[in-house]
Amino acid sequence: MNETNVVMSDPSFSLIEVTAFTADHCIKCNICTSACPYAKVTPLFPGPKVVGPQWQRLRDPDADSPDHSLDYCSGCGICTLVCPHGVKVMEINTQAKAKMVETHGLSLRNWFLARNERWGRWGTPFAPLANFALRNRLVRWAAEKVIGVSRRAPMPGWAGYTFRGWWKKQLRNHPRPEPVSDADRVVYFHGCSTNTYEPHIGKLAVAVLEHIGLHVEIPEQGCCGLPAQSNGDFKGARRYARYNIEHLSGYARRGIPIVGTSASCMTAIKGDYQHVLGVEDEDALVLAEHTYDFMEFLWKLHQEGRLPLDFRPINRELPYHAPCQLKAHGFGRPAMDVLSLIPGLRLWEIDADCCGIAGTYGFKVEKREISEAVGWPIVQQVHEANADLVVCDTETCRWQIQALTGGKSIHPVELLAEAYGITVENYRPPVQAERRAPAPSGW
Amino acid sequence: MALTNPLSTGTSSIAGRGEDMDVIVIGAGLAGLMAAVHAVNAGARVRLISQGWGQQMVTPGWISVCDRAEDDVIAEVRGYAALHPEHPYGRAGDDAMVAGLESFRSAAEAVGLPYEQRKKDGHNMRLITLLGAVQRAMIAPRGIAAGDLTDLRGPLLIVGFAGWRDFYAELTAGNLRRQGIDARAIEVELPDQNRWWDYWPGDLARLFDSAGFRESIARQVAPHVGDAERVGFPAVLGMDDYPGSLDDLSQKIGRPVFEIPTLPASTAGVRLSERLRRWLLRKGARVQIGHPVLRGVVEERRCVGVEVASLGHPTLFRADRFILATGGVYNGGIQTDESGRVWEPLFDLPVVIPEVETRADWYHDTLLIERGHPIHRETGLRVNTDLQPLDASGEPALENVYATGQLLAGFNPLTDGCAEGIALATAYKAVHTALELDA
Amino acid sequence: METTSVDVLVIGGGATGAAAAYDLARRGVKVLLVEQNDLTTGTSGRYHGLLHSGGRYVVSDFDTAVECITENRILRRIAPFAIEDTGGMFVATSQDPADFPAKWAQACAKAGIAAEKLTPEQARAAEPALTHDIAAAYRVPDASCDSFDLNHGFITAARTFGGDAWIYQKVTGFLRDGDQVVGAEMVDTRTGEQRRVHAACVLNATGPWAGVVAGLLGLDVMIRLDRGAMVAMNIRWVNTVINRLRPPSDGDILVPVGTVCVLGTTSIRTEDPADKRVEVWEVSKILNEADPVVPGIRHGRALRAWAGVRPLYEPPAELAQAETGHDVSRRFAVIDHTERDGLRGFVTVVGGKLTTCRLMAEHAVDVVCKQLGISARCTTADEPLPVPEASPRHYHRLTKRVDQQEHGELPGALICECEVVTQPQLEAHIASYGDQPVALDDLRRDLRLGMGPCQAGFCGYRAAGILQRVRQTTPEEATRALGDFVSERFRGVRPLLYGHHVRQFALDELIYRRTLGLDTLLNLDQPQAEEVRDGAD
Repeated sequence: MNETNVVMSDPSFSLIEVTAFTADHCIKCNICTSACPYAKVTPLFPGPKVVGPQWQRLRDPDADSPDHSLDYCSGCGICTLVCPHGVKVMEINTQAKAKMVETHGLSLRNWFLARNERWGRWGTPFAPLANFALRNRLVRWAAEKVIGVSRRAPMPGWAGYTFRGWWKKQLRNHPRPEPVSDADRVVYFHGCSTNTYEPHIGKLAVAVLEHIGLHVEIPEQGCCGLPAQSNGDFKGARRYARYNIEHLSGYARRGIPIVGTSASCMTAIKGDYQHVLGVEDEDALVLAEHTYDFMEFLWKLHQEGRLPLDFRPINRELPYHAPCQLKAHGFGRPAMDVLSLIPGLRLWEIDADCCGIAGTYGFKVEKREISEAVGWPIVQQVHEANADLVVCDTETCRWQIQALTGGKSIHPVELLAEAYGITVENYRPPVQAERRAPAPSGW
Repeated sequence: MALTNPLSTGTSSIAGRGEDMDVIVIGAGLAGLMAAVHAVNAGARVRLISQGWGQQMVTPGWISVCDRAEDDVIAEVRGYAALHPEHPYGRAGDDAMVAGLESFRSAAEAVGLPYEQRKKDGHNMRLITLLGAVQRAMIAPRGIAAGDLTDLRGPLLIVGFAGWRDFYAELTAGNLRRQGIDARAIEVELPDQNRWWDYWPGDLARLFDSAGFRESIARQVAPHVGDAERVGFPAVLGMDDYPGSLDDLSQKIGRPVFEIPTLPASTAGVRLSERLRRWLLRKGARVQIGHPVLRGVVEERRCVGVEVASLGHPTLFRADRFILATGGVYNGGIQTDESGRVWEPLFDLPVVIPEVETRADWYHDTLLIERGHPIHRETGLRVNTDLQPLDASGEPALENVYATGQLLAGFNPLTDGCAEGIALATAYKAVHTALELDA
Repeated sequence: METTSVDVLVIGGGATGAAAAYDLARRGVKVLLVEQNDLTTGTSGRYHGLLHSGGRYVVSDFDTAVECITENRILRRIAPFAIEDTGGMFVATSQDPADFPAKWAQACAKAGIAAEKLTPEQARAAEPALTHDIAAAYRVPDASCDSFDLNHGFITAARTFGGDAWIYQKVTGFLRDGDQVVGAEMVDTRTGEQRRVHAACVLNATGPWAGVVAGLLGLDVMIRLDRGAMVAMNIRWVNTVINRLRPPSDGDILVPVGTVCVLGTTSIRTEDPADKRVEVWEVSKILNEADPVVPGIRHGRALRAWAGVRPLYEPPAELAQAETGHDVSRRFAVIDHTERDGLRGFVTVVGGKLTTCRLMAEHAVDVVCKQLGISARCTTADEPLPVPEASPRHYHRLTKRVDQQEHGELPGALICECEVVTQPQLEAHIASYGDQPVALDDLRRDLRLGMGPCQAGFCGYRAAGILQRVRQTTPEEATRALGDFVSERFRGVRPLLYGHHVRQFALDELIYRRTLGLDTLLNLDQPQAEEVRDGAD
C-alpha cells in the first residue's frame, strides 16, 4: 500500500480533506507548471503549482482567497496527472475557486454556463429558432457583449426533441422483454448534451447495449453537475449530485452498472462528487463503484467474454483524442481498445493534453483565445494527417475540435454501431415475445 | 520540430489489437520511457503506466554514466562492474550498458533531440553548472554539450536576462574564473517586460522558438562578444523548434552558443519526455500518465496484472511481462514512513535497507557529505543478472517481473554520477531478458 | 579598541533583555543591549509561539499561572502587532485522567483565568480538526505570539527612547574596579573586532547562558538546562491553540503560528546552553501525542524541527526533587549579586517564560535602578509599543502579500515563492545591514526566506545570486553563504526525513549537487573535513 493510500484509508480524514491534504506532498518541483497547457499559452496564469499547493498554505481559511488569477485555471487536471507525488493540484484549485464564489458570488455569465442543462431543455421546443439564433452573427455578438459567451464558442445545435422524450415513446411503442435477472440490466446515463443536442448518440448507445443482450433502464437523472462545479458553484453542483445519487444509487446497490457516453459526466459521478464536492456518504460511494464510462464498460464485458464480435470491417485510419476528463479516469484508453476489435479500423491517439474547451472554460469571451491556443496541437496533427474525422468521447471536446479543425468529430459508439451494422434508421429493438408482427423499423 | 504525418511513417501507428499487452512498464522516468521504447522497437504491445513524470524532469539534463571517470568512461564502468558484479552495472552487463547508451542516443535523435558525447576519446565532457561549477558527464543534449570545457581555448561570455530570477550570470562567471576558466558576464533585456508573473524556464524556451525573439537577443549580445570563443545562456534556447533554434541563435550571434541547465523543471527533460511520449503514441503504445499502480496481482509467482487507482473502482491491466521503473525513495518506488519502515509498494518485494538502528541514521549530519546518505545508496531491490527482483532466498521472487533504474539497490543516484547510465543500461537489459531477445 | 559608555549594559537579545532595554530606556537610562548572535536566536527564538493564558500551570505552578494571565493581558495591549488572537482550548480525551478537568477549572477560577466550558459539539464546531473523543473542553485566552516581532518591537521602541542594540557581539570578559563591575569586553563574531563598553551596571539576561556569563566573573548561578523539541507542521492544522487537559507532559500543545502549526514539546536534561538536538524518538513522541487530539495529524508533513533550551532556575534543594523539567517551576528570579556575592553593578535575571518577559524585565530593571539610585518607575505596561515598520513575518500579512502579488502591488521577481519574498524586499533588507556582514540566515529571520516547504531548495540559489550582485561579494563568499544556509536548513529537517519529506530533500540535494555543483565549489577552498570510511569501498 503506498504512502498516499495510508492517509486515504485513515478514517480520520474525509475524502474532501484528503484532497486538500495532498497539498502537503508538494515538493515544488514545477513539473505541473511545465505541463499545464494553459500556462504555456497565457501569461495571465502563473501555473497550477502557484495557485494550488503554494498559495493554499497561505490562504486564510476564514477569508476569501485573494488570488483571482485562479480564474484562469481551466480545471483540465493535467497537473494532477503529471505530479509524481500525488498532489491533487486541480482539485485543490477547484476547491479554492469555490471559496471565491462563496464569498463573491457567481457572475451572471458563469451562472448561465453552470446551468446549461436548463437552456438545453428550454430551447428544445424552439429548436429551429434557437439554432438559427445561435448561428446568427448579430445574436452571437450580442451574447458576447451581454453575457460574455464568446462569439467563436462552439455552440451545439438543439435536436428539437429530447432523448428522454424519445425513450418514453420507445417504451410505449416497443416495450422490451423483462430480463431474467439483474445480471442483464444496465442503467444508461445520458447527460444533458445527449438529451437535448445529440440524442442520436443515446439512441446508438441503447442500440449497442441491446445488441449485446442487455436490458437498458433510463431512470430519473439530472445534470451531472460538472458545469456548476467547474465554475465554483459548489452549492448548485452538490444539489445535482444529490439528485443523481438519490435516483441512481439504488441500482448500484443491486449491482447494476451505471454506464454513460459522456466521459466528463462520468468523472463527476465516479470521482468529483466525493473528492471535490465532499458528497461522500455510502450511497455516493456505492454509486461511484458501479459507474462506468461507456467504452470502459464494453471493454470490461469483452474481458468477460460477453461482447459480441460480429463486426463488419471498417477500413479507416482515424485520429482519436482522449479528453482531459477521460485521462482523469485513469482507466487507459478503452475506446481505442474496443474499436481495435473492429477489423480494418486503425485508431491513433493525438498527442494533446487538452482540446482547450475544458468544459465551459472555452466558451468564455476572455478565455476564448487561450482556449484556441491550447487546442492548436490537435489542429496541427489532424491537418498533417489529412484527417477529416476525429473520434472523441466528450461532447464539448467534439464541438471544439470541429470548430478548430473544420472537420467532424464523433463519439466512439458511432463507429461501434456502424461495425455492428446498426444505424439510427435501421435499428430493430428487441421487443416482447408476445408481439407477433415484427416491429417496424426505425424508431 | 517538424511534425511528421503519422500515416506516412514506415511502421504504421497501430494500437495492437487492444488485447492484453505484451509488456506493461510502470514508471515514466528515463528507465521507464526507454524500456517502453525498446519494447516497442522489438514489436511488443506496450502499455506505460505512471503516477506522474520521472526524475528527468528535474535533473540538469546530462546523462551521467560514470562521472568520476577521468579516462574512457565505458572502460571505467566495465572495470567497476567486473569488480562489483552485484552493482546494477554488474547486473545489467557491459553489452546492455553500451547498447543502452547507443539506443538512447538514436531514440532521442529520432525525435529530433541530438545528444552528444566525446567520440574522440570516450572521456567525460566537462560541463558548466548553474552556479559555475564544472561537472563531468558522458552524454548531454547538444546545447549543453556545446559548453564542454575540454577543448576550450578562449574566453567564455555568459549571458543572463535582466530581472529574471533564475539565473545569475556574474556568479556563474565568477566561479568559473576561480577555477581558472576565463569567463565574463553580461545581462540583456527581455523584450516583453509587462508580464505579471515571473517567467518560467519553459516560457523563455518558447520565446526562443521565435526567430524574431532570437534576433532581438542576438542584437544585444553581439556587440559584447569580443574575443569570446563561445556564448553561454541558461538552458532555455528553444522548446518545439530546438535544436534548430539553437543553431539559428549561434548563427545570429556569430559564435557557438551553449546552454547551462536551470533550476527544475528541466527544459531538456521536458523536451525529451514530451517528444518520447509522442513517439510512443505514434507507435501505438498506450501512455497513461496520471494514476498510481496500487498493487500487482500475483498468481503462483506470476504477475497477472496491475491494479491502478482509477476513479470509482480500480482498473486491472493485464500483460505477459512487467517492467518496474518506479524509482527510488524520491519518486516512490521505495517508500518510507515515520516508524522507519521501508517497503516496495507494488509487490512488497524484499528491500535492501540501511543497516542502522533507527531512521536517524538514514542521513549523515552533514548535508553535502561526499558519499551521500545511506537512505539513497542502500535502499532498493536486489536483482539477478536477468534483472529479476530476488526473494529472501536469492531466487527470483516473480517469474515475469523485472526491475530497473533507481529501484535497484547499491548506488546513490545523487552522488555516484551514474544515475542515467544505470537507468539506460537496466532498461535495455530488462526488456531484452523479458522479451527473450538476443542481446 | 572601540569604547562606548552607557549607564546600563544589557547582555542578551532575547525577550527578557529586549524588554529590559525598553524598560530602562523609558526610565531615561542610557542603555545598550548586546547579543552574541542575531536577535531572538536563543530560547526566545526557539519556543512554541504561545502567549500563555496560564492554564497550563494553574494546577502545578499556580504563581506562574497568575503571572501569565496578567502579562497576557498586558502584552495584548502593548504589542498587538506581534500577537494573533487565536484563542485557546484545553481538551481532554477519554484517555486522560478523569478527575483533572474539575481540579483544573477550579484553579483557573482562583487564578482569574477565564475558562469557559464547552460541549464537545461546540469545541468541534470551532475547531473541526479536533477528535470526536472529547471528554472535556474549555476555552481560554491563549494566543499565538511571534517572538521575532515582539522583540523587534521592544528594540525599536528602546531606540526611540534613546537606547541601542548591537548584534553579533559576544562578551568575553568584564571590567572590574574592586568589587564593582564597570563594564564589559566583547568581540564582534563576524569581523573579530574587539570592543569595550563602560557601564554603571550590567544586566545579565542571557537565558541559558546566564551561568556561563556570570561565570566570567567567577559567580555561581544555578540553572537547570532543559531541552525541548518542537515540530512545525507544514500547514495550519488548527486555528486555535490546543492544550491537552491533563497534568503537564510531553507533546501537550498545538499552536498555530503564521502559516504553520507548532507541535510540542519534550523535556530532556542537558548541560549545553546551545543544545539544538532533536532526536527521532522525540519527533515520534510529539506526533503521537498530538494525534489523539487532532486525528490524522501524524500523517501530516512536518516542515521543521528545532529545540530550545529552557533556563529553569531553582534554588538547589528543589532542583534535586523535581523529576522532569515539566515539574520545575517556571518562576523567575532576579539575583542582585551585591547581596549574594558582594559584587556591585551586576544583576542576573533567570528563569521565566516568554509570556512573562515584560514582568521579568520590570523586576530586573527595578533592581538595576535601585543600584543606580534611579527612582523612575516602570511604565512599560502603560502604553502600546510603537508599531515597528511593517514586519513582513506576520501571517495575515502573508495572505495580504499574496493579495498584493495578485494586484501587482508587490513588484519585482518572486524569490522565495513559498513565503512570498520579492527581490526588492530582499535587496532592501540586504541594504539595511549597511556594510556589516549579512548571512542568508539573517535574511531568513527578517523575511522568512527559505522557511517554506522546499526549505530554500529554490530560493537559496536565487538569494545567493542577489546577495552577490547587491554586495558585489566574491563568488567564494556568495557560494559559501549558500552552503552555510542550506546546511542550516538541513539541520532542522534531519529528524523529519521520512515519507514525503525524503522526497523534498532528495530534490533539494539533487539541486545542490547536480544542478548547482555546490559541493564541488565548496570543496575548492576546503576539501571535505569529514570522510566517511565505508566497508564497501
